[in-house]
Amino acid sequence: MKVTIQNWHSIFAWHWDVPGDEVCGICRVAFDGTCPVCKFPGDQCPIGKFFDCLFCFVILRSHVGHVLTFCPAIGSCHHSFHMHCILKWLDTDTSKGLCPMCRQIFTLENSNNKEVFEALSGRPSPLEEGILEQEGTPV
Amino acid sequence: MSQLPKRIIKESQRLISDPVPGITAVPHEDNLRYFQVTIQGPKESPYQDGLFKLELYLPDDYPMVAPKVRFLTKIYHPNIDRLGRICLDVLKKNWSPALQIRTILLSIQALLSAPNPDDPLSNEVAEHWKRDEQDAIATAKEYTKLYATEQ
Repeated sequence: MKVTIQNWHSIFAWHWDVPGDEVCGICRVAFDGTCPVCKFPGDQCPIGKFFDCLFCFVILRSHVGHVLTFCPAIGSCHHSFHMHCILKWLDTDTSKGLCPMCRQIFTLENSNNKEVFEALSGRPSPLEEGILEQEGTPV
Repeated sequence: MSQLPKRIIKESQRLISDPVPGITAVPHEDNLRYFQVTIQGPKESPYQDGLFKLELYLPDDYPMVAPKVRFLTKIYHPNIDRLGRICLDVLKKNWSPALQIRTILLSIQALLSAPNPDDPLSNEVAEHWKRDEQDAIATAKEYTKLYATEQ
């Protein structure tokens, strides 16, 4: 028997480098799922078009549009959230810029996330210079 | 109405499967963001033996904004006014999306154990509390008996 492959699709699996049962502290959905605003990855996601998330798999870079949606924002207090969720919270007056979990000023731990944060929120990240050394951790 | 967020579904399920002692919260079948709540008066408070009905509503922006909660049962308390509105920091300026329905209801239950007449919502009641605490507590007990006890 002779088989001719005419077309093929590569399939991959991925997940965030966070414990499997960890969920976003705001929407309580697993990080591998979307935040409540983004029902379909890439589709309703209004942001992220021009940004590359170095936090992610290289292979996902071609899907940058929705990668940012999934990007867990990890604060220097080590509490993590969907990027969308924490941005939305920090945008409210009630938040006073504080982490929902520990009420410390929310600063991003990851330098790549810092750029993403600034690009998305249109304001400087509250991250202090001193903690910029930490590199992104691809899964 | 838009689809119910997963978080609200999860919270509702847990409130039923693993209820907080002394507290019930049941979503209304026509509106899953509206909950009928009961809180038992804490032991050794003037509200002991009372069963208080409340309503709780999750606004569209929840969990970015706090749930709206109101007492339906009449209650004599310096931080709860005649309309049942509650003065509690976590319902306003100290709200955080890490809080949830169950923690808010627990805070309200704790408020019944620890009235705070220095941050009053109901000035008359707070004045009464500060002027003559024993007498105010007696009135609160009377209200509990009158309005919060099943006949």
